[in-house]
Amino acid sequence: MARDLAIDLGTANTLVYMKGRGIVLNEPSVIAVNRKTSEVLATGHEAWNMIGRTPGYIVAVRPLRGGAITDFDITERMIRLLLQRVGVSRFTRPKVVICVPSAITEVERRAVTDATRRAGASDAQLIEQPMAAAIGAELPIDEPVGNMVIDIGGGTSETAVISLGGVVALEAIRVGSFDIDAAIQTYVRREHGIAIGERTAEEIKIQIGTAAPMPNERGAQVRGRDLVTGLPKNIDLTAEEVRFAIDEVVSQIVQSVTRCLSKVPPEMAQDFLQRGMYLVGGGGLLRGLAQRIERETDVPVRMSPMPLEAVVLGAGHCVENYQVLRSMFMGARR
Amino acid sequence: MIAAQTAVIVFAVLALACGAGLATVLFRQQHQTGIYDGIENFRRHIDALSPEARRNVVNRQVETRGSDRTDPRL
Repeated sequence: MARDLAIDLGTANTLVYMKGRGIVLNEPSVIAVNRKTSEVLATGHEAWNMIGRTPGYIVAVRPLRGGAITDFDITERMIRLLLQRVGVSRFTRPKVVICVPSAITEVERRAVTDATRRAGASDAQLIEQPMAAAIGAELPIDEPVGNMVIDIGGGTSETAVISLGGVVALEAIRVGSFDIDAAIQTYVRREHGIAIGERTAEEIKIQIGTAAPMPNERGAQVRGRDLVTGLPKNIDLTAEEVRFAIDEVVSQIVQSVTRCLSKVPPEMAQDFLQRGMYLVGGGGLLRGLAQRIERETDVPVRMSPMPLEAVVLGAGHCVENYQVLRSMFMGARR
Repeated sequence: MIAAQTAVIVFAVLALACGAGLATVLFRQQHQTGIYDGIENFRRHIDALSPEARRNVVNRQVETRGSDRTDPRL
């Protein structure tokens, strides 16, 4: 008998929750494929280590961008491999709940469910990421009070207000922490004349990236390829420069939070002032982001205790109570 | 003889009609939404979302945290 699964199929990372066991898999959403034979060579951490370092016949790709499937065939193979790795065989077909961005289109929605069913699931249901995040972040969404959750992922940023188990207001943009990495790459190329890879840009963001001025800021030495000479080159990058480079992306995220706040019924506004809003998702770990949102909205911002796992834990709870919580799934009758 | 056969057929048809009618009434009664069904379903839904109901899932993760799992990246 197959154990039912919840999958957070993120642009950056994929997490799998197994009913009765908890999180059984957590790795980057990357797959390495042989271009000549179309064989899958590696997935997860192994494939991630190959990014930017592959020979011509190997391609290491992220099959999801902005939370949406960009390559249906590769995504299906990735899901199939994921299911195999957690013990799903041809004879054990589990029910699967998949977390997707709320801004997903009907076509993208069908692509995800089809890919999951074809990969071996007996039933595939979708749940909106902010709803799953609110469940997983242990917010009191069963009470008639406004709970605001900001989920900043690799490709999307979603802000939702949830009360009595339903979404009151929602704002989603296809901007996430990968856009922050891209902004760093563009800045370094334009201002310092060197090209850096996406992994280096991500390292810079983790090491010295800030969304607001912070105490004890430091710089970093960055290695890349000189665009003029083509030779390796070192440059010194300051935290202030990185903050300037990512400011436009951070501003878009903060503005989406503000727009969501403006959609909320006035009765709920006082709930946020008392209870604050909760940050989840890897992008929420950017230093100074909570302070920046707090400064621009005048609402306290708190970090969820498990920001990276909140979404899959919420979907996992729906798997544990599949029948009772069926109405939480996208497209279900409420 | 013919009268007896006709009576049996009429009786059989009537019995079938009554049976079908009874089955329809029972089926409709079973599938009718009661006035309290919405309240019951909503209560079950809300109870399943209570912090107590969710505690197991989160606690299990807290227990397994810090084991051999690799930290995900941003």
